[in-house]
Amino acid sequence: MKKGFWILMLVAMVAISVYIISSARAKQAMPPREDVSGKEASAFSPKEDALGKPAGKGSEQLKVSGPVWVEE
Amino acid sequence: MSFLRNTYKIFVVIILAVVFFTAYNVYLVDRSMVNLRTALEKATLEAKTINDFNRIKSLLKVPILKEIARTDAPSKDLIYMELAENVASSAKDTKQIEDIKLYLKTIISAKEKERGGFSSFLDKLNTALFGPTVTLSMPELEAKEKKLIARIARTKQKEPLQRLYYDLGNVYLQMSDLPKTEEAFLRAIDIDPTSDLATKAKFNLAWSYKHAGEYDKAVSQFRDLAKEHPKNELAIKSQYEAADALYKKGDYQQAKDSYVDLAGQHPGSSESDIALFQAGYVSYFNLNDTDSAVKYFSELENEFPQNVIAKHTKEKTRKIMASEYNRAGYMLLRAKDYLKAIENFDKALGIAPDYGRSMAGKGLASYWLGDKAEALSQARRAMEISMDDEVAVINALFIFINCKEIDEAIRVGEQALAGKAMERSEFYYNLGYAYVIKANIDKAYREFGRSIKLNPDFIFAYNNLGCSFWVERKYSDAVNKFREAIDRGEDYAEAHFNLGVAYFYLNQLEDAAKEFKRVLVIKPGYQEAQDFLDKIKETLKYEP
Repeated sequence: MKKGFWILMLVAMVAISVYIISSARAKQAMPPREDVSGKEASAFSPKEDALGKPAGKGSEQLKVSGPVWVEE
Repeated sequence: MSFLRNTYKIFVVIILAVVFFTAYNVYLVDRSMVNLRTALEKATLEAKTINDFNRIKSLLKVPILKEIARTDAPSKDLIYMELAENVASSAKDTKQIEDIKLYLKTIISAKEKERGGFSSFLDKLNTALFGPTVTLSMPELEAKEKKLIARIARTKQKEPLQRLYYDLGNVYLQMSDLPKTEEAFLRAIDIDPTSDLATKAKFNLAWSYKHAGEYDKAVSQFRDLAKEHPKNELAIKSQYEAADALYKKGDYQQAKDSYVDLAGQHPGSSESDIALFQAGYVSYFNLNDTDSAVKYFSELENEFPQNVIAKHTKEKTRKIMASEYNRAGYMLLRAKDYLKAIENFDKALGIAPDYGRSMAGKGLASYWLGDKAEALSQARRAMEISMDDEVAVINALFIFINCKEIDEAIRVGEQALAGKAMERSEFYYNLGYAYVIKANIDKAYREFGRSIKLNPDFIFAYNNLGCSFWVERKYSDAVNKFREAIDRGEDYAEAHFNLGVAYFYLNQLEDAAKEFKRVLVIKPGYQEAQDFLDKIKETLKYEP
């Protein structure tokens, strides 16, 4: 009887934990994919980073995608 | 006997607990607070579609009936609850949930103030422990009915008898039995028609007609009451209820006129603010008359500048009204019809001058029309009026960055982030981009990382994160990010190009050539890709 009670408690605790975790995840749902048609690729030419260290070779030739605008 | 000696403490505890909880439930707890708090929770967390509003409506039924059963004039809470119920029943736009939230918050905070700290704490505890009461218990109501009828049979004095009939009327009202409600209230009135309780019985009778859907009867009864007792507190409330009955009937024009009359006749009353608000609300949502709505809201805001409803119209309702023009403006931006977009944004701003996203939209149009000074001034104005609007902030950052005001973009981005947690990947992406331009790669990493966390398919963020890794000479991480960008967007030419550049400098020339060839398939004539291919051919001495 006692053993059965503890097994039931354990099952209930696991079920509650699963419920709490899954509902917390559901609340963190990702926002819908935005339309970002304002994209612009622009040249990127750092010779060094903010601390003055030399940048990786060929950094100035990489293409950084530009800022985006969004609708609602 | 020895059993009782051993266990009496447990019995005492149980009896004390039962006594405490009975007293607690009967005298301390305001049960309607459980329903109101639950309704507010649903409105805040769960109401995503107009159908979800119905669940809020069902939670309001019991608190409304409880409020109407009071002996004295109902408080303003009744109006707010009925307004929340009206919006929940006839909402056309999910954004109207903001109105329901306003009404519920106003009632809850007024009740909390009235009940004091300890009682409010008990109410909160009660909400956490017990669920709301959605329906009234029929057996309980029938028991009350029997008890009252028995007491009526043995009561001879006028005053207590009138009170008993009044209580009986309220029981029948809760049972939704109109003929019996009518009979009980009419008896209460007949006993002493000049008493205050008779006036309240008339009010409740009119309200019963409204509750039962007999709107014409309700309107005439409320209007008679207002005429008969012009000095009574119930007169203005009756006038308001008559307007509400007309609204529920669907006679929106008359309802609006009645709200306007009330606000004009009783300018200082506690109902005049809500009457002006309703006049504007019905004008916009039911009569499609935006100009009148703006006029009534302006009157409300000018007459009651500190009023919570007036603040709500400024911050929320006007923006809901302007949202159609705003949406059209953004669609026109996409269609590259910038002048028409500005026209729509101007209309939106005419309705809601504090609508930051329309101001930012206007800034985008000015930027694409080549007027950078105007674009910057509009982006700055948008940030002055609503830095908490994420769409406005993202678009203002777009303008600042493209107008080479990178320091301003970073300052605004950091300020916006200090005010609230931003929820859109594009915000962190634009801020990350501004940091890249300033060669502040550590911060750029952080922002692109946040952007990807919010939207794992945001290919531009992977590409730019790859660039940031490359600058920091984290070559394999950079290659991985360029590949991740390509995995999510096979035709993303810049990511193929960057991967080609990475392979080139890592001396993986054949892999690099493959990427540059892919770039040329996606974007024929991409000269830099062709130059790299030529260099590779020269080094390898064969066509890779």
